Formats: sequence, C-alpha cells, structure tokens
Amino acid sequence: MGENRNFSRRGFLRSSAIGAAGALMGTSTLANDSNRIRKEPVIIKRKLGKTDIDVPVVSFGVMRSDNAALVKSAFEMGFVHFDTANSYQEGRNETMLGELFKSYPRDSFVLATKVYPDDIDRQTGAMGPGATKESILTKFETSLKRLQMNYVDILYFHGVSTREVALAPQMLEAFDELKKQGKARYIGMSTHQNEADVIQAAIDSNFYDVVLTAINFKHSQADLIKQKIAVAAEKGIGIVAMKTMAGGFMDRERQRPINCSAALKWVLQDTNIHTSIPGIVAYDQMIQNFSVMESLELTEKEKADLEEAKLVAGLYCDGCSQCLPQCKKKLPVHEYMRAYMYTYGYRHFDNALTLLQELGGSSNPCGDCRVCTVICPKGFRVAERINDVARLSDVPRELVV
Amino acid sequence: MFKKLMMTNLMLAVVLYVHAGDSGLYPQIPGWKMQEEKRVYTAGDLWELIDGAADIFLSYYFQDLHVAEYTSKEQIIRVELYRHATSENAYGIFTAERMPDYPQVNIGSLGYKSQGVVNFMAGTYYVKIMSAGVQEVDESTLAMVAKQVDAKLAQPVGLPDEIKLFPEEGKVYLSDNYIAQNFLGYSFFHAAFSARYGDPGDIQLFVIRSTPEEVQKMLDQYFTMLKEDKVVRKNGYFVINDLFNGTVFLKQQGNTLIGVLNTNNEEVALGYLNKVAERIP
Ligand code: SF4
Ligand code: SF4
Repeated sequence: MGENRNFSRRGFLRSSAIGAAGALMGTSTLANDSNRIRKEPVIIKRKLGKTDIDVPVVSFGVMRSDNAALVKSAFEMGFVHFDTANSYQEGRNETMLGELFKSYPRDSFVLATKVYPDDIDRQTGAMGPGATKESILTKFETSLKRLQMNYVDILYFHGVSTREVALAPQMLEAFDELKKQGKARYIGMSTHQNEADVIQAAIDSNFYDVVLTAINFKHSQADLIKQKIAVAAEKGIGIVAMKTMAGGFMDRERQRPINCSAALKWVLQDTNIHTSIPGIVAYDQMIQNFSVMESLELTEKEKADLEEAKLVAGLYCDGCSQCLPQCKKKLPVHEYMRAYMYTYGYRHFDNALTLLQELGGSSNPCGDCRVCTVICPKGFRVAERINDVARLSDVPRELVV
Repeated sequence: MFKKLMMTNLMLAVVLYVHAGDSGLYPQIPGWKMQEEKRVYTAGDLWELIDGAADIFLSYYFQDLHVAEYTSKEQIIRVELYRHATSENAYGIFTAERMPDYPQVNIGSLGYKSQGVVNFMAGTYYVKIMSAGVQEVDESTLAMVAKQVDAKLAQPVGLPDEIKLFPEEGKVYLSDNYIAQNFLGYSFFHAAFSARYGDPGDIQLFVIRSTPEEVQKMLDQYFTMLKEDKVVRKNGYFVINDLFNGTVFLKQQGNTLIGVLNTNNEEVALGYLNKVAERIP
C-alpha cells in the first residue's frame, strides 16, 4: 500500500475529498467553498428502529469487490454501515469486505449481509423442499468465514416476495437460532417485489428487527409502501431503503440519467426511513452521497429534475411482462408501450415507427377485441395506448421526422 | 450514434419477444427434457431474478439472460446464459465472480467447477450451469451438459488480447481481470485490464487501451483532479500521489496507459511498467 494511504484520519479525508470533489464531479461549487472545507460536517443520523444501531442516513451498498480502496475511503470519510450479500459476486464481495475490515475495531462499522435458502424460485418466491433451515445455516457460516467475523450486525432473509415465505417456520427458526447464538445481532428481511405485503408480514411476525425495502420516487407502489413503512417504523422496525436511485436512468435504454442526489433525498425526507444503501462504485458518487448525509433539502434544480423524471416515468413501461398472458390476442403489449414512450416521451417518431413495423405494422392491433382484459400494475390503459400509437403505422415514413 | 444505438435496442427487443421460449441457444440432450423459460431478462429487470447482484452485471453491459432447465427424473440442471455486449465484458463479469481456488475444467474459456456448479465463459456469454433439484447431479453429468451447451453456443474460444500484455513471471494465478467502468473509482478512466504481482500479491498492474487522444484526455482529467503538486513527471513516466489510491505509477505508450499500484518502490514499479511496455506490439 502507498504511504499516503496510511493517514486515515476521517477529518482529513473528508476535507481533502471535498476539496477534490469539484474536479471529480465536474463542478467547482464544493471545491471553492472554503468554509465547507474547514468545517467538520454535521452528519444526519437516525436510529434503526429499536436496535442499538445509530447510522448516517446514507450507507454504502457494496457492489463490486475490485476497488477495496473505495470502500476504505468511504469508511474513513464517515460511512458506517456497509451492505453486502452471500450471493454477490459468488462471495467475492464478502471476501473483500472481510479482508478490508479485519484491521478495524469490530464496533467501528456496521456490517449487513443477506442469505436465501436453497431451492427458492427467485421469480415467484415459492420455496421447494430444499429450502431448509440447514441451507440458511450453512450459507451463513460461509458468509461469516468470508467476512472473517464472529457476527454480523444485520442478517437479512434475502429477496422475500411473499408473506408465506416471510413467515415460513423453518426460516424463522434458522434466523432465530443465529440470533440466539450471537452470530447475527439483528434479523431483517429484504424485499423488492410485493413490498407492501412483505412489510406487513414483518409487522405481524413480531420477529424481524429490520426491513430493507425497495422504494423510490417513481416506484408504482410508493404510496402504499410508505404507508406500511410508517406502521413498521412506529412498531420499532428499522427501515433501510434500497433501489433509491430508481435504476439510475429514467428509461430502459439508459439514455436519460436520474439526478441521484435528488432521488436519494426524496427517499430520506421520510423520517420513517432510517438509512439507505445506494450502490457506490466511484469517488464522485461517494462524495455526492456523503453530501446528502449533511442536508436532505432539495434544491430548486433537484426538484425540477425529479418532476421531469416522474413525468417520464408515467410513460415508462416497467417491462414486468404481466400483461403478456393477460392479453386475449397475445399482443406484445410492452413493446407497444415502448413505442408509445418513443412517441410521446422522446418524440422519436422514426424509432416508434420502426418498432411498430417490426411488430407487424397494423394500425389496429386490438382489432375486434372490445373488452381489454389487461390489468397493468402501472395503471396504463393499454388498449387505449396501443390503438393511439399504432395509428402511426399508417403514416408514410417520409412524413415522419 | 444515439439513433444507431436505439435502433439496435429496438430490434433486439423485438427479436427477444419473438423467440422467447425458443431461442435456439440450447442443445437437446438425450435422456433429458429441456424447457426454456419464456421470460428473457434484460437490463431493466435482471434484478428481479438476482436482486442486488444485478448491479455488477449491468456495469459490464449486460444484454440479456436466457434460462433453461434440463430435467431427468428427480434431477434438474439449470443453465443460465448471461450475454454481454462484448467478449471483454463477458470476461470482466466472469472474472469478477471467479473464485481462483476452484478447480479448472476444460470447457469453454476459463471453465471451473465447484460443488454442483460448472461456470465458464464463451465469447460474449457468461454461462452458469448448476444442479438445481433436490437430488444432486454428479460432476461428470454437469460437465457433459456444459460441454454440449458450449458446443451449441459455438463462440470463439480465447481471452482478450490485453491479457497477453501482462508478464507471466510473478503473476498471481488467475488474478487477471477487467473493470468495465470507473476504474480506480474514477469515471474518466473507463475500462481497464489488471493483474496482481509479487508476494503477497498486492502489487497491481493495469492497462487501459483507447485512442492516443482519449488516453491523453484521461490523463489530463486525472491530473486536473489531483492538482499539479501531486504529479511528479519523470523521464517517460509519472509518479502520482493519489489521495484515494495511494502512490500510482503511470506510463503512456501510444494508445496504452500502463499503471502500477500498491507499491512505493519506484524501481520495482518502473520494472513492471517497462515489462508491459515491451510487450505492446
Ligand atoms: S403490465 Fe404494464 S408495466 Fe408491465 S409490461 Fe405490461 S404494459 Fe408494461
Ligand atoms: S384490447 Fe388489445 S390489449 Fe386489451 S386484451 Fe384486447 S387485444 Fe389485448
């Protein structure tokens, strides 16, 4: 390691990093603010429900193992809580964190990991006969070995999408045993499908200490999830937010990036949400996220960016495919929704026309189907949209600009 | 450029829909019933299958994932085909997940096995094959299926040319990898190949290849961020005091940027820089 890596004093790194931030983030605002450079930042912290964990509102979602220096810098800068999973990078993610944190006092950081049992259908969440207590215990032992730790602070039941799975007795037994053995200080569950039901299950269980849930400004169920979060938080369950950046882009083509600070602030303005775990892969992101720890107030530009992103989200099909089996004519409904977005969202008429032609070029794909059987979770009236956008098929390409 | 990209995406999306459930990617294997999942995962929904692990796949320009299961009595073999934009990206995600201590198998490129699993790389594909039923599938059967999947994919065998730039002497076994974005945590560095050296294997060599202009631009951005007093210009190389990454030694040779990390020994670093430089064709 380079000599200059050894001065790991948090204050130094914070101030120097903020100094470097202007160049990294393509703005001089932070770098030129000399008061800010000298001032020790006041970090907004929240207590994670009834646990004894008190963490900054922004934590670190560890996504890659190739840059331990980034995680180390984040820790030295003031990030406290690091989130990984047994399955990330086939375990290399946990291994990297173990190597890194072995030289720090165990109580100086909060480590969360996640496991799911064998034989669980990752799409439906349904558990097969192989989803045993033992499979959880075995996987978690592997995690502890990789992490080189005797315990983790939070152990999540990973990716729960149904109430039944959340409350499966053999799972509760496994996690309870690990908690009693002191190998997991707190037990949580993570969810990014059917979140409201899963949070309700956590509330009803009287078992889970923490819930890690997907939530962001353009989540189609955001209001409902926030209602459940409020009830869970009231009951003392710690709430951690993930997928706060809503995928980082407004569109599936990943052409229009989301203002990530704004998206993160939107989530954290809800005080029932105690911390968040955005994935961080670069120093500019790290510094930007650190600045969110200091102020959750949305600037005028951030407000405008969020408004715009919400507008685009209204046109945006999630590609969840739920419409496909529902359509009586087996139309590729999501592709028509895409054509609709090109037409009304981007005004890329030629792209829309190309797509429509690929889909058969009919100007009336629903034909004689009078009653639409599709119920889209985003609330799209798909038949109206299909028939609206398909009319473009009749327009000669020369007239499309 | 944007238009071209968009058109490619559109056409791909349509092709995906048409072929879903019948991609032609999977071989029929006597004695096994093959069933392809209708759903084809894309960058927009990969997380629904693999949760947060999807993020790293996306950073390697993940394109789509086809899944199929082979069933024979109580045994199930699940075959996942992750397709990435280029073979470099497939190599990158493959190496990001590879455990160097797993035994190698002669399947595809860089195949390896662990209990109930065979993983390998084939062209733009990262292939994962696993025993997925209650009754475990034995090693030789998994290998047989893996070989047939590899043959059906019929992808070119081999590794990215850049790997050959790393000298074999002193290289830590299977330490080479490819980072597609934000190398060293800086967005301006784009993609890099790297490998580890020395004992205990801390020294990291890296190679970034682009056009000479782009390499110069990366250097300019790096130096602007660092401030001049952190960069010492030597005869044909730079010694950099990087707040986040420690001492970094850099050398530009045409369209290639060579770097050494995690050592303060200038002589050792220079030795590595020159060894790589000599290997550039
Ligand atoms: S159900 Fe709605 S959001 Fe889902 S793919 Fe169909 S149109 Fe899109
Ligand atoms: S109205 Fe159109 S979209 Fe709705 S079910 Fe009929 S064919 Fe399908």
